[in-house]
Parts: sequence; structure tokens; C-alpha cells
Amino acid sequence: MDLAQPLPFRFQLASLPPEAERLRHDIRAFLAEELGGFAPELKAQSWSGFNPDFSRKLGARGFIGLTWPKAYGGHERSALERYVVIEELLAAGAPVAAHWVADRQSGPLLLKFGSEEQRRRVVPGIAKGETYFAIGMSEPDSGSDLASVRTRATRTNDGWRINGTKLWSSWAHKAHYMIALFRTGEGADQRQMGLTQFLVDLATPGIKIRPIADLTGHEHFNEVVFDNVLLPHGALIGAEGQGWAQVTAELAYERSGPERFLSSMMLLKHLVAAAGANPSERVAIAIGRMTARLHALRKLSLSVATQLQAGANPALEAALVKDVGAVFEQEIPDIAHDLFGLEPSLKADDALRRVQAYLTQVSPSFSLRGGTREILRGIIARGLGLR
Amino acid sequence: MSETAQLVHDAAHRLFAQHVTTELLHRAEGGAWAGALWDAVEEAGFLDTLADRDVAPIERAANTAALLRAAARHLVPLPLGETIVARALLAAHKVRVPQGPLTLGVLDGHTHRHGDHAHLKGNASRVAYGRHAANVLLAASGGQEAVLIAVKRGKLSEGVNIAGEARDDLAFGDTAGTTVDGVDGDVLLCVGAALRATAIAGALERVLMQTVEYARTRVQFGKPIASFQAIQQQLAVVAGHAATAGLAADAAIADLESPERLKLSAAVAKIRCGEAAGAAASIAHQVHGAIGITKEHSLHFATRRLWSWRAEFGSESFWAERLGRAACAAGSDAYWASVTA
Repeated sequence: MDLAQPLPFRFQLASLPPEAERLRHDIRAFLAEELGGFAPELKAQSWSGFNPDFSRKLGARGFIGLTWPKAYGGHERSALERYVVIEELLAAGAPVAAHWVADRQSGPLLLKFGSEEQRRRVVPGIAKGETYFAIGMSEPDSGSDLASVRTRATRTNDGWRINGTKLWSSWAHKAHYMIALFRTGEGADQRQMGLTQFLVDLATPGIKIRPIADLTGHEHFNEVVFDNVLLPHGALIGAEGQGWAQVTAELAYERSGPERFLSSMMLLKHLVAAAGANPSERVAIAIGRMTARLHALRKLSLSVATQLQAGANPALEAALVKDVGAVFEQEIPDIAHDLFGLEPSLKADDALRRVQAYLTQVSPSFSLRGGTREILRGIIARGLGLR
Repeated sequence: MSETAQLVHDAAHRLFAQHVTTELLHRAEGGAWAGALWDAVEEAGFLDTLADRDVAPIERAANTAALLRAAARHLVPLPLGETIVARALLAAHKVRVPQGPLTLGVLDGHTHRHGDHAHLKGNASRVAYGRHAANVLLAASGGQEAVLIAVKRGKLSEGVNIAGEARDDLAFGDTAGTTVDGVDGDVLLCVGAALRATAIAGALERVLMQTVEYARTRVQFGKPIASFQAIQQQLAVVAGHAATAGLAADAAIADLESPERLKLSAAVAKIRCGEAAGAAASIAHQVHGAIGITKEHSLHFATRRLWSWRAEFGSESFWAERLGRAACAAGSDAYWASVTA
């Protein structure tokens, strides 16, 4: 064993530049103004809270598309400035779902792979907080095995004919567009080869969108059925057959942010409040442990953001942060139960019980969305040289 | 890693790889002082890594982190972190730095000034390598100063942790030593926690490397056990612990010269590293089919230290209670701001 060998992953202490801290001041002031009247259980929805009014105000204040070129409505700020805005939005429980996917991954994907026409038409609306996106990856028979997607795009004289079904597309029923991964051919030996990404206007005739309610009664998941849907030639994103490489790049945006450990932040804050100024030893220890994990995760996440800013591709590091982060945010509802033993209820007078009820019922998704725990650990194992 | 930290890392690994053999670890655990190793470390100039005022604070902290992490990967049986921090503290307070190994601890008792000297009275328990150190830096919780004093001025009772590392109790009557102003027992407790956290982080890396290597070579059912998903998923968990512990420890080492900031970062690091130590040791032994608990195997050199170090200078629960009480006293409205401060 050569103990001088570096590990396959690298994390470094990162510090935020002064302009990022100035932006923190601005976004905090904005949030204090905007979120005053929001109920705790709405804040608990975090990046699952859909509120177009809020998104438009956020866009008008220049907090969406922070890193994008000004020519497309962006603000040409650094990834670390964006990081600060995102963590402040999440920590405050701001309802960011409407523009979330568009800002996090669709906009960056179009700027990277999209045609000039697609960028001009769509990206400025995203930055204004007016144009929303859904993800079109999963299907009824394709989850972790994304390369097995079967929804087919067939070339016609006028464009492409689409047939098939996308599933779990959050907010598709309220979004304007979907970036969808369709099968356009059969790869000779690799099934990843026949995949292509499309920019789908969700108002196109033949698209049927059926919301699927979750346990808390919220409808954000959707089944999206394509029945002989005709898309123009200009809907194709990037290059035909390059969908797999493009979707992999898209997933990198999806795995690295502070949303991967801050989803239960509102419950943690309510636990601190319920503990009171002079908690029992048991409660103090539990809160101290969660606090330590939060600090440590944020340092890891900031390190990934810094590497992204430097142009690196920290895919392994992002998988590690998401895996460790999901364990943390998923455990908080159980810790809440262990500490106070309150019966969770969305209708309780006590805000802690409502917030706990919401997060207990949605937290199983935290280790699924953006890549399952098992897939992420497989990526980490590959990085370790185990496979 | 910065260029100079990389140089420190490379030089440290070369030196430790040459000196710290399994045989040396056995001898050290038997009570022998690793004198040749100590001389080599001193000769290499490692002892003033943190004290060197010609190097910028951020850089000397990064160099110290690289050095201590390398030392921990090799399980160096010396009070290296203690000596490095004590020398930096003494130099910063314009106290003449004595020759030889130094150690430090928290005094259960009290100190007081008496003219140019400080007096101390009380006990310090489980002091690392007490019997091998010429001098010890001690401070009482809530005191006004630390006291540098020759170990032989006190009464020493030998002890060891389960890794066979010397952990000696020291008792002092009313004894005069050299004053180090403004360093109280809490500072030394935080320093100790930061040192043990970074030691755990390094040992965790060793455990991860050793267990990955074992999984890739151990064949069962006709193939290396690394090819089983059950093993892969477990080792991915260890990697997560090593990553989290490593960065938390780096953050604490970066604050060694900033006592106010160290209160938080040492607590975070000791909690995270302590949690990681238990979880990683458990998985590593499992993947090794528990052969690591036999004396013939080498996995236990790291895991016995993990099990010891997580309890030294405050356990996870000790630090978590402190951190939790501080968070609750500040209240939920201040909670997030304290995370980003």
C-alpha cells in the first residue's frame, strides 16, 4: 500500500469572494421583504414550492440566470455568487420551484448545446423568471437505467413525430417547455448512441399531461404522454445521437448544488426553536450533531462549486456530496420524531408538526431525485477502482 | 493543494514511509520511544511548520494540515501535532521554545501569576507521550494563562490507550513554570480536538485505501469481492466519511491560530471525524471478514487508533452538546446566519 497516493476525490477549503458576500446581503434583504407572510409548511416545500409571482420578482431583481451572458438576459456573475443566492433561497424556504429546473439545468444546457435560435427565443424568459421547464428523462420502464428510454422521435418531412411516455416530470403541467431525451435510432453496440435531446413546447397538440399527487396532496409529478406529437426540425438540441453525452452534462448541474443537503432545513430550524434556549442534554446533543454535519456538508459543497467555477469536472465529488447530503436531509424527520415524539400532521396548530408531516412524507424522494443512492454509490465505487 | 503544501506532503510521505514500519509500530506500542524517527522529523524542519513566521498564515496552516495528515496516514507514533502547535503558541507569545518533544493538556486545577512566573496546581490526565516529552503546556479551563513546565517537575503515572500510545497522568503540587498569557484550557482543548480530528481523517484515508486494496485482491465465489455491489456500496459510504472528515479537519487546522474561530471548527471537526471513525472502522472490519481483529493482521493499527482518538479531547457527544447548546441559546432565527458566518 503506497500511503502517498492521493485519494481519487479532492476537496479543498473554499472561501467566498467579497462580491458573493455582498450579494448575500442583497438576497437576504429581498427575502426578508418577500417571505414575511409565508406559512412554515409552505417554506418547508423549499425547491418544491411553485410560485410564479415570486419567480418573476426574483428574475426582475436579477437573481436568475446569474452566471449567464448578458446577451441572453443573464448577469455574468460567478458560480460562487450563484451558490450564495441559491443557499440563501433554500435556507429561507423560498418557493423557487417554478424557475428552478430552468435556472439550474435547462438554461445552462441550452447555452451550451442549443442553437442560437433556441437561446434567443427561450433563455431571456428564463432569466426574467417567466419561462419554466420540466425534465423529460424518466419513463415508466426507465429510471436509473436511463439509456433504456423508449419514447421515440421519428424523422418526418416537417420535423419529428414523437410517441411514448415520460414520467415523474415535476411541474410539467405548469411549465412551458421540457427538455426531453428521445430515442432517434438504434446504437449498433451501445444503446446510448441512439438518443437525442429535444426542446419540447408543452403546448404542442397531442401532448397529454396528467398530474400525480404525492402523499401530502401536492401535484408536482406528472405523466406526459406523447401521441403522434409533431415537433419542428428546430426542436432538436445539439446533435442527433449525442443525447447521452448531453444529458450526462445536464446531470452534473443537477447533482452539485446546496439543494442536495438543505431540503430539510426548515425542519431543522423548527427543531432549534422547539428545543428552546436551554434544552435537555439529549436534545442539545442531537442538534449539535446535525449542526456539525450541516457545516461539514456546506464545506464539501462549496469545494465542488469552487472546482466548477475553475472549469473542472468534479463528477465524483458531486456524487459524494449528494450521497452524504441526502442521508443528512433524510434523517432529520426521524431525528425530529426521536426528540419530540410528536404525531406529524399537516393540519396541526403546531408549525413543527406540520413541517414534520410534510418532510416525513416527501423525504424518501431525497435519495432518488437526481440519481439514486445506489447509482451514486456505484459512481463512487468506480472512482475508488472497485468496478 | 498549494505548491508548498504539496512539497511538505511529498517530503513527509518520503520520510514516514522510510521510518514508520509495522515493526516500528510494534516497538512503539511496546513502550519504546521512536528516537530515530523523532530525530529525522526534527532534522527535516517539520517541527516549526506552524511557527514559521516567514510563511503566510494560510499557507503555514495548509502546510501543517498536509504534514499532520501524512503523519496520520502512517500512524506516526510521536507527539508531532502537540509539539508543532505548542512551538507555534510559544513563539507567538515570545516564549523561548525548549528543545525536544512537547505535549499539551487541560489541567484539572488552577493556574495563577506570581511575578514573572505562573504557578499551577492540579492534574492533567491522559497526556499524550507525557513520559517522552521534556515539557508540557497546560492550562485550566477559565484560567488566564497557560503554563509551560518540565514534565519531571510533576508526578507521572504511566498509561496507554488501546492503540498502545502513551497516555500518562501528570500531577503537580504548587509548581512554578513559564507563563503563556491568554491561552486557557479551552483553547488547548480545542487545539487537542483539532489535532485528533486531523489524525482521524488521515487514519480514515489509510483504512479506506487498505480496505479497497483488500477488496480488489480477496477472491471469493471465483471473483474479487470488490465486484460485489454489496461491498462497493459499503466502501462508497467509507469514502463519504473520509471526504467529510478530511475537509472538516482541514477547516479546524486552518483555524489553529484563531482561537475564536477554532471553537466552532474544532467542534465540527471532532464531531464529524468521531462519527466517521466509528462507522468506517466498522465497515472496514466487515469487508475484511473481521480478520483485522487478529494481531497478525495490520488493519487494527489504524482502527484501534480511530477508536481511541475519537474519545480523546472530547467525544462526539461532548462537542455536540456544546455546539447544540450554543445554537439553541442563539435561537432559530440566528441559526442559518451562524452557518454562513
